Amino acid sequence: MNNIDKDPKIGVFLCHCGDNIADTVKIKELKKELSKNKELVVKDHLFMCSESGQNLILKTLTDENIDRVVVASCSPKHHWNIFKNCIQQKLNPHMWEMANIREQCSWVHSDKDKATKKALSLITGAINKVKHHEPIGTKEVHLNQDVLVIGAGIAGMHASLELADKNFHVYLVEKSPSIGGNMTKLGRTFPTDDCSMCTVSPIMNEVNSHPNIELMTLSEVADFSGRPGEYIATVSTKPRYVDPDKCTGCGLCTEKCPVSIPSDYELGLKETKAIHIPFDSCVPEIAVIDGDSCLKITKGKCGVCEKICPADAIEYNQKPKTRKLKMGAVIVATGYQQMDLSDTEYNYEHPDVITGLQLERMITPSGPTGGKIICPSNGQEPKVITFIQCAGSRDQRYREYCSNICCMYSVKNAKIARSKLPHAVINMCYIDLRAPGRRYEEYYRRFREADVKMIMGRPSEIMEDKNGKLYFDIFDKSTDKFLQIKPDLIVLATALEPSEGTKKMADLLHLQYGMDRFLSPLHVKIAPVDTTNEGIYIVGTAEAPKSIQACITDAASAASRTATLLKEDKSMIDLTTAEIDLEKCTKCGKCIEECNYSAITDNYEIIDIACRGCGKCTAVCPEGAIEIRHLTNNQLKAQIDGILSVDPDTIIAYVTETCGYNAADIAGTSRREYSTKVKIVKLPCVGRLSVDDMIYPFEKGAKRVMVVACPEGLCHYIDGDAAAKEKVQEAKKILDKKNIGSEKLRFVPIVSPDGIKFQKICQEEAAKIKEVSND
Amino acid sequence: MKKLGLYLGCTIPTEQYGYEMSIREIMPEFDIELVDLENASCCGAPLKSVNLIMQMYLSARNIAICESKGLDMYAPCPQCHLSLTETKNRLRDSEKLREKIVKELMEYEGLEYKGDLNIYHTVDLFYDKIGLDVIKKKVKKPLEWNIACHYGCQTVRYSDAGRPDIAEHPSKMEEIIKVLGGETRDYSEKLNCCGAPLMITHKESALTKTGEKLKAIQDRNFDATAIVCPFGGRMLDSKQEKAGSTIGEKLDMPVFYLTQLIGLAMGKEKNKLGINLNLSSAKVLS
Amino acid sequence: MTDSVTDLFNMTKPEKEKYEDLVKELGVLGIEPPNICYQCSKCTSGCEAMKLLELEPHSIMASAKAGFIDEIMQSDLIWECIGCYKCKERCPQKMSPVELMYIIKNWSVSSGKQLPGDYPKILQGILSTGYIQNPLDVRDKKNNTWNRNSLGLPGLKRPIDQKKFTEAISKLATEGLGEI
Repeated sequence: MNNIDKDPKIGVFLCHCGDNIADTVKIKELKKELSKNKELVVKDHLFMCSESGQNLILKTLTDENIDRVVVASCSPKHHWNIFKNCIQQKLNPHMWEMANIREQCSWVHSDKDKATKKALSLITGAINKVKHHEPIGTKEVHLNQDVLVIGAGIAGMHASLELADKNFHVYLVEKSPSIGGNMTKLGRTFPTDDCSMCTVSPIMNEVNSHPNIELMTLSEVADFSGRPGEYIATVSTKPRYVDPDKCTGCGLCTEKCPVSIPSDYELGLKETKAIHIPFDSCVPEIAVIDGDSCLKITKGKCGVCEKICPADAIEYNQKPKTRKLKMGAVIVATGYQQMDLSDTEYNYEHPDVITGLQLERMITPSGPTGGKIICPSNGQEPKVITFIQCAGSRDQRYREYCSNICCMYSVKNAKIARSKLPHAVINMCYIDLRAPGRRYEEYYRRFREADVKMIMGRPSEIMEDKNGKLYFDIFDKSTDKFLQIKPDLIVLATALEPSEGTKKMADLLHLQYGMDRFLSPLHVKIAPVDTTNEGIYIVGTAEAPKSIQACITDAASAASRTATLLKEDKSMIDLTTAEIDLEKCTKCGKCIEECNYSAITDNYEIIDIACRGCGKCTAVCPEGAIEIRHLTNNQLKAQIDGILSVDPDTIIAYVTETCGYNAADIAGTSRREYSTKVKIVKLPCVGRLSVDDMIYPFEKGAKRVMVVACPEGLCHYIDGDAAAKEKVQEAKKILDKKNIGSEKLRFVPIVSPDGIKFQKICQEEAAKIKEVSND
Repeated sequence: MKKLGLYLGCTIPTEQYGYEMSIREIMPEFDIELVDLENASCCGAPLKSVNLIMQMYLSARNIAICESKGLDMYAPCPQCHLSLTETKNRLRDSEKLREKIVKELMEYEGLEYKGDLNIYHTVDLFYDKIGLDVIKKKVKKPLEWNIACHYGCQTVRYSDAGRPDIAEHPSKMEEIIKVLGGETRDYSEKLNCCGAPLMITHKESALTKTGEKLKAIQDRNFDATAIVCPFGGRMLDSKQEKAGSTIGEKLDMPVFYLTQLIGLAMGKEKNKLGINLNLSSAKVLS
Repeated sequence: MTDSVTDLFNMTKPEKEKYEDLVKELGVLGIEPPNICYQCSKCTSGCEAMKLLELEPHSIMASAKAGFIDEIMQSDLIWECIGCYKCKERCPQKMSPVELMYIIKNWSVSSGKQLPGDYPKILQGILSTGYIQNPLDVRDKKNNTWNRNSLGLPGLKRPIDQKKFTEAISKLATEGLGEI
């Protein structure tokens, strides 16, 4: 209050932490040294995190003209929030820094003078950095609270219902004329053996009648843009050629239609007509005309269905429609399809070699064969049925992965085949039999009671004799016999792969996907339905082959995540995100390419709600035009300057705030000593580091530099570690050119709890300096 | 006029003369000049079980010889074609292996290896390089028989090395037969082995395999069988009678090299194509 | 694979060094270690030699994986492999029983096993003439004899310096992939 100095000062608060810090770091000396700098107001306290410590901070901020703060104490992991809540009563919550002089100083060093010098350098680094801090505000973003669900299979339908029950308005877009997905094609489901249609029908009806669900069948997402909270989807709807308000689903049109076409739903086992009701108990139960085969639509002939329809529901003049929808979040539930096994050694071309899904159609009572298992070639019941597992799955030449559900569904189907054909010979050729779920092993035991012969082996090829009868050779490892089997019907447990819709949506929505084209979750274990795109969630078999139960879990999880995101129609977000100086920007596009979160538009605008603040963009910008507000280039360089100005005999350790920093803290709590030369600089991700950032410390006198990354594959920002690793190689070349020496820069991954390794690498680096100085 | 180094291997120039004669007879019609390779030797394929380095040296030396003339190679025997192709691939992919073989070739025989040439077999030479349209134009006497195609194991396997046709449903031979006027279709035993390599150690088993293959083709009512491998010729043609007696069946299946069939369709004289040397029945020709 | 495992039927133990050599030599051919094999028996189911001669490629792979390599070297079964490459073509894990057997056959030859069947004749032919056999006289259906000359075919091209050629091949006969 009595401060006649107009320039604001920096408040520096040193904590003794009882004697945890003060025992090793001479706080009084530090205070004396720092107080020499008239820019600073320096205070100390025994326990800065205590109420009295907080009061000291508040009082100082009130009494003095201070606009930014440094707190030198324990690891930010403990009391960051306490100090933030205290400081933000007077200042913008980003106008302060912490220096870790406990876990990363007093607890890992014993030489008091050296430790105090290191503490001074860390604090000076923090002071220098905070000088470049700017107040970071918040922004209110508007959130549209509607949700788009793409795909109305079991996962999509369940997610829609959960959200609709929470009063969200859901647009449910489905490509087929009916909802229900692949589950409507199944006979029974494991491990309960209940009828699939009986389970899924009520769900389909609920979806159709729920006031909060807007159902669009025969529709696909054609275009997609926007940002989290405000996505825009263009949905194109094919004409049904039937008035949904008039059609009663009587089926008379189908009977009289003269044009037969292959039926997608019956998977080639039966044909349907150009006008047809999609299937029994479909939803909506309305006829649909296939515009490419209808004689009236293509050639202007026939027109029988219009003449006989008692409800006058036929409308040949319907046109495709387009609609633009706005939503805050999207759930992708586009599902799977079975792999095409044509042109393989499985002889799928033979009519009596069928897939698992085709068998499902046969065993369904309302299916194309009236619930009978028959050989498609002659319509007779088979006397010998063979199930062949892993057809296309677990195969480096086709699909590398295991399709998850085939063991269980084949076990189910074999049991059903046994009950329908009590005298048939049923065998199954398998490698492993996987029954990992609840009650699955017991189910497998009931299957073995059904007298199905298990052959532990795989046929190399499926042959047919001169009369077209199937046969194959197989080596059975369980009996060590070389067998020849002559089945009437072969059922291949065909590999599941992403549907066409899944592949399309991946590209349209810029979603990450694996080599197998299934969609990738943000984190396989702890974020299984999120994606790198904020507000877009993936559920069901679009993500990976899985059971119905797992689909429901996914759907409920995604609904919950969506509800959390869109709980209000607005959100306050911290602007700890990227910023582009358009005057420096040359629009080279490198940042857009580098960003994993689609947070930079083609017009070089930042979508703050999508930006995760990792800083990878900063590292690739050749002009320094893009920065992240909470760790700008000036701030980082200033911190390095500060540390090295006090002590150039330093090893700068760039660490990630997740794994590396944690490992260092754990070294601290376990009192693992290492050299005071090591000074830690915290980053959100090592991907933030440009080649320049890696070389800069050397130019300011540092002896060595470490880039401590998260382990490969575990980077919290997808691939920041890989980006940093590449840049380390480039930086090494430059260090050689400058005669500094490439071996002085080191890239080392570390897992979060590995305090022991952290100590080890620090000691290794310190020893290398000793070697050189001994020359 | 395209020039190709003609690499015949062992079996064709010492035994299966019909294949060589038909090749020499028809190639000029397709504007291809065949250049015999001085200094050639076995490709090493029969020695894989004995010593793989030896095999790769032998294949590499023949590649070096052909390259020294600036020519691509035509290897009508699939065993040679596989040995040469896989050696070329391995020397390309393993620096250490390449170093060793290149060094030995230079030290012992003064041969320089680069591994840059293309290696063709009858099937891909005719289907991919010459092309069905060109073949069709040369047809004067359409064949009009029902012909089974026997590719042979090493013509289609193993895919990773790059073979003249695909492994599971190869169809190039069938397409060629069709433009020659013949009928053909797929049959389940098409990819079965004729058993030839077993002649080295298990003669009876080899002949059993041959017999079974011929019987399967016969049972499917084909008029003739087309082959593109001299071992196929040795077993299915030269040893057909023996194979029949081994399995106790009467075998009467005319077997021709594809190049002989092309020659016949072009109206070439039978004896110039070496057809008189085929020991299997020639009943289809009457 | 250490001393901790014993095959009680034969009182033998896995051979660690031989296994590592095998992995190395497979690597030279661009093939992954046999550990990857998951024993599905597809190779044996399609093996052309299995149908008549009881060669079980999957069993060879299993023994190799477990390190019981001497056993395989002594066995006669591996000489039944036809080299049809069906196992390598169809293996879902891109293993190659055929080439693993080539390597082990090579080892057994270099450790003194006598070459079976016609192999000695073939090897001798190549060493001394460059080819497995000399041009044969063949008979036609009418029992006439023909040879290259009477058929109007050009003379067979052989290695120009047969001595150097034989030297090179003989020397290589003593070497193996392990030295690469």
